[in-house]
Amino acid sequence: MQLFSCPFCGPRDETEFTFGGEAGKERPEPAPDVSAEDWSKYLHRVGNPRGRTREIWVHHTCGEYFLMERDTVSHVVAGTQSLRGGGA
Amino acid sequence: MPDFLPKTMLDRGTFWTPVPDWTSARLHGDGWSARAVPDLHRVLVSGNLEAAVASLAPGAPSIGLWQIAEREIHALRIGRDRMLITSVEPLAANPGWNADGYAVSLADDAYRTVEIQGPKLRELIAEMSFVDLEGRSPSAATLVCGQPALLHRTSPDCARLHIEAPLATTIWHWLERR
Repeated sequence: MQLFSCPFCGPRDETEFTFGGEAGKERPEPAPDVSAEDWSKYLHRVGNPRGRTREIWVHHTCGEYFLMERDTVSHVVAGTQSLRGGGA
Repeated sequence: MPDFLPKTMLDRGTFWTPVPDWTSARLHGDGWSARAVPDLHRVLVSGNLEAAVASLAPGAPSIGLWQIAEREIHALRIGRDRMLITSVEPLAANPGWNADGYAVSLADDAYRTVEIQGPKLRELIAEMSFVDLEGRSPSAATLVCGQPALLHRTSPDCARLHIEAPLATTIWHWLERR
């Protein structure tokens, strides 16, 4: 079992959370000009880095989306941050 | 229907756990008892919670996980901008968007409420949920028996679970088999 810290609720069991995607991805705009290849790349291609990574997670019992920095090798969570202020 | 098909195909209802009578359901365990709380009025509010509470439940504190709600109107915090207000008496709430910046959804039948009390309450809850009851979390929302629910207390030895109605039978069935 691992504890993640929801920016609103505080530490909760990992089973209350769901991975939402890599942080920092920018949706290609404007939509009518985006090629199928670029759209597919945006949707499906992920960096999947080894080590320190920034990800979007959702605490599904309270509905909070937030940024989490963690290590994909050690599973150590460096911190979490609400998305209310932007920056992800 | 051909004879080789199982007869259970005729009535899928036999596969489902019987739904308890939520008007009178009661259970008694070793050191705890549980009952369904019937006729509770509920509204879900989203947005400006401060304005919503001032209008619907004046003076009611925001109740988080395992916190004790002492009044007859309980403002149970779900998330940063979402709350379930429960009341013994009907709530004077108009569904829809309010000009003060919050939305109201009538939720009388959206949840079932189960009250559990007794000297072994804490041990029982520890079996039902991983959550740290002493964590002072501002949100009452967590997982109970794997199902989303709101968990708070009305006295030191009396807890309430507010469970989305379609999932409540699962938790009640867990208690029956405990």
